[in-house]
Amino acid sequence: MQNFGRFCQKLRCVCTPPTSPVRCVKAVGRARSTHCCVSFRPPLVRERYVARNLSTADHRTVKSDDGSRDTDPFSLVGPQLKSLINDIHSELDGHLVRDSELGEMSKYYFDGKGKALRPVIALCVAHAYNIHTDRLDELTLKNQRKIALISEMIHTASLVHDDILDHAETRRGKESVNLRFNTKKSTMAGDYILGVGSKILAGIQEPDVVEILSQVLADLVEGEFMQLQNKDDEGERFEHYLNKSFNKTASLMAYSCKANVVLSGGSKEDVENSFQYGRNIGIAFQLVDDLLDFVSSADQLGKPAAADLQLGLATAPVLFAARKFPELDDLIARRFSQEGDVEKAFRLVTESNGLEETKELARKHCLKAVSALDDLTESEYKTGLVQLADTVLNRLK
Amino acid sequence: TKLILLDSLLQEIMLTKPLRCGLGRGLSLSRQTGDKPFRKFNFETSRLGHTLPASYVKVNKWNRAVSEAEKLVGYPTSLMSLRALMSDDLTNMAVHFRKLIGTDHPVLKTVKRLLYHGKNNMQVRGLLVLLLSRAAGSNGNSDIDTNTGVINDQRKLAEILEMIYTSQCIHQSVVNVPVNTAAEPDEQVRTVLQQLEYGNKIAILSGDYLLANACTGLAALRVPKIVELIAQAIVEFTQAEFLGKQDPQGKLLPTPDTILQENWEEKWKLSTGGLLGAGCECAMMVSKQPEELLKAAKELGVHTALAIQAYDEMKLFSVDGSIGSGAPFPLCSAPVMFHLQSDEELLDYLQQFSEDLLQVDYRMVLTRVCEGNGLEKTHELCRQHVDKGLEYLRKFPENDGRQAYENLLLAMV
Repeated sequence: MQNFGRFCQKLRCVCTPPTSPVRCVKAVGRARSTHCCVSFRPPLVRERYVARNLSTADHRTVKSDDGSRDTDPFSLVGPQLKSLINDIHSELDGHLVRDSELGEMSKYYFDGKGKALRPVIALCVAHAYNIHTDRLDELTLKNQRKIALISEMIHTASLVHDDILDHAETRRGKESVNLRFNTKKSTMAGDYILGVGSKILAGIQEPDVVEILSQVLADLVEGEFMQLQNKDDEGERFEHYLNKSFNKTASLMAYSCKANVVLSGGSKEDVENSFQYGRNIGIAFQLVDDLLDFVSSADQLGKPAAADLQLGLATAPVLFAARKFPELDDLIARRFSQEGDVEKAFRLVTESNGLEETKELARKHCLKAVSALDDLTESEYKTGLVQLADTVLNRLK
Repeated sequence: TKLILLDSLLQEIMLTKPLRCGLGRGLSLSRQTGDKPFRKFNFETSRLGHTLPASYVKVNKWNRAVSEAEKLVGYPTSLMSLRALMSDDLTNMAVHFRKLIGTDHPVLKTVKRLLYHGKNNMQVRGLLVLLLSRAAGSNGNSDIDTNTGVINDQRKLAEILEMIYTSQCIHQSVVNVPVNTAAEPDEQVRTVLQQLEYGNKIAILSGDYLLANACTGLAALRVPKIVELIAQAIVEFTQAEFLGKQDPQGKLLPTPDTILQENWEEKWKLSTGGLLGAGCECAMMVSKQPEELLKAAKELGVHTALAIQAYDEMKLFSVDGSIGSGAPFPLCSAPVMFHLQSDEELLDYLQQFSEDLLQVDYRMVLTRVCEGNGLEKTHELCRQHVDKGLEYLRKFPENDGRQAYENLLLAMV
């Protein structure tokens, strides 16, 4: 049974007759310009909203009296994701002036094989907060879907440029775009995807949201620059690494959550909470990513393993291991450039408990993320978000 | 200390790649006073290798017009964004660019062109937007700077425009290197390839940095319609890169179906016309001008950009251009294209080099183009666009801002 919080004081209302066991959200007592009776919206409307947005396959599990239901976040927003990919394709095609290779290149990474984690987070947060603030209208939802679209596009545009910068050869199990086509064109394709994303963003007609998401771009570039730098002081290294992880990964998730909550009319605390959720999930995601780079094989990941070491990057496992094996400091400082450095670092990391410590830190961030959602109204989507934290922690690719 | 580092870096860039200009011949500088069409290039007297500082302002109608305009509305801001990039603590770009000195990466040339040849090389987009803002008037907006007649948001828009243009130029200086450079057996080639890769990295990152800053700047203006128009311009110029046939290095090759004036216009309309047009239109939006002025501003921007491009290409072939003695030049520039319309033999000759355009005998192509009517036709093209631009400019109120803009346009013909 869903627990909506305390009983509302006013059981009688002039607008709508109260229905049976009326429970209201914590809205009572909160400064609200709407009439209290809004909180009497019969649970049926909420169920209808949820049902409308759940995947049709899971319709049978949406039963208000049945306690157990599938709250896997990916299936909660399943059909929306599929239509998301189609929408992205049609937007990218729609802006082409002339048929050229650009059409093929820009859609190359939008093949539905990605994890689509960012849109899932954005959509689940959107739905959860829509229920929380009771803003269940179509326009808000349409705009929130656009945010999910944009977050995936920004992510992919950064992937295209990253593959050029890291001279990657494979991604998601196929040739990287700069290998298949060439460098110059890939640069332009990345810019194209970004341009189309910006246009969609402007179409939402909300200056706040535009400001929030433009910050993501600045953070992404800053993260790349931070990666080029080497901090000599060991004490600073970890903080530098966490800041870089925020900039490269968590920033997009955090700001798209924030944008969606702003669109659903959340309070300042709501906005801050969703930002913290996105931020911590993002950092945990990046930590697990760095962990998997050591642990997984290339087939599972879809991209080559131990790539970070090859690129000279010192990630969390290495930094943890350096506390136990100080000789790693020299290797980190010269970015594993000498012969045999990569192998030595790999060996030392597996010998130390760098990997376990990384996982532990990721778990801490997941817990922080979940606790940021404490004030959120209960719903399938909130449970989905909590489950997402678990998925991020325990994924294998 | 930061600026000292920056300036010393730039000095180094200047000295290692000497300017190729005709000034070494000792001809009088006032040769180019506007009335005569450009003389044909004279190979015997061309000489390379004099490193004259770029502040050597030539007496030239264009430069005069630009200086006058700057006095009216303030200094052009293109230098600001690139300088900001170079002296930023976080990005440490000066250090990265320093590592690139001595390599052949085009991004170095681009940066030099953008930083040093501001006046002489068409870095006037921001200036044009400012002039137009002054010409149109503030329309009741109080956030105006009375000295220059430009609203603060319009000035920010001009800066953003320059940032985006700079980012576009820098992204276009990326070279195509094979992805797996470590597999190259030859040691020397491998070093060169890795240097080029590093240059690419710096180019992409700088371009992205400027683009990201431009986007945050745009968002801070808090008018979503402006963001939409500028985003449309970005979408357009990224597509311009894909038009036409290219060799593996990304250099353009003219083919029988792409040498018409419409092709040239389409490409440059997408590439730079869209950006300047959107910039002008958005500046008018800031001061809430009526619909006809918005449209006029957009068309004016597009035609101005096309005129500037034609003028630029014409200058390249002129006596001051840097393409003496066989250096490669863009084969899809207007003079070449117009010439190829009547010279099929040369067109066929060029088709042979679709695998590697560096093998073309550029000296021969240059001679033939200069002998033909390519340059005159380009001059005519420039004049056409200037005339169309003037038509739209006349819709704006008559004042010194408008006059300065007119002077700039007329300086090109």
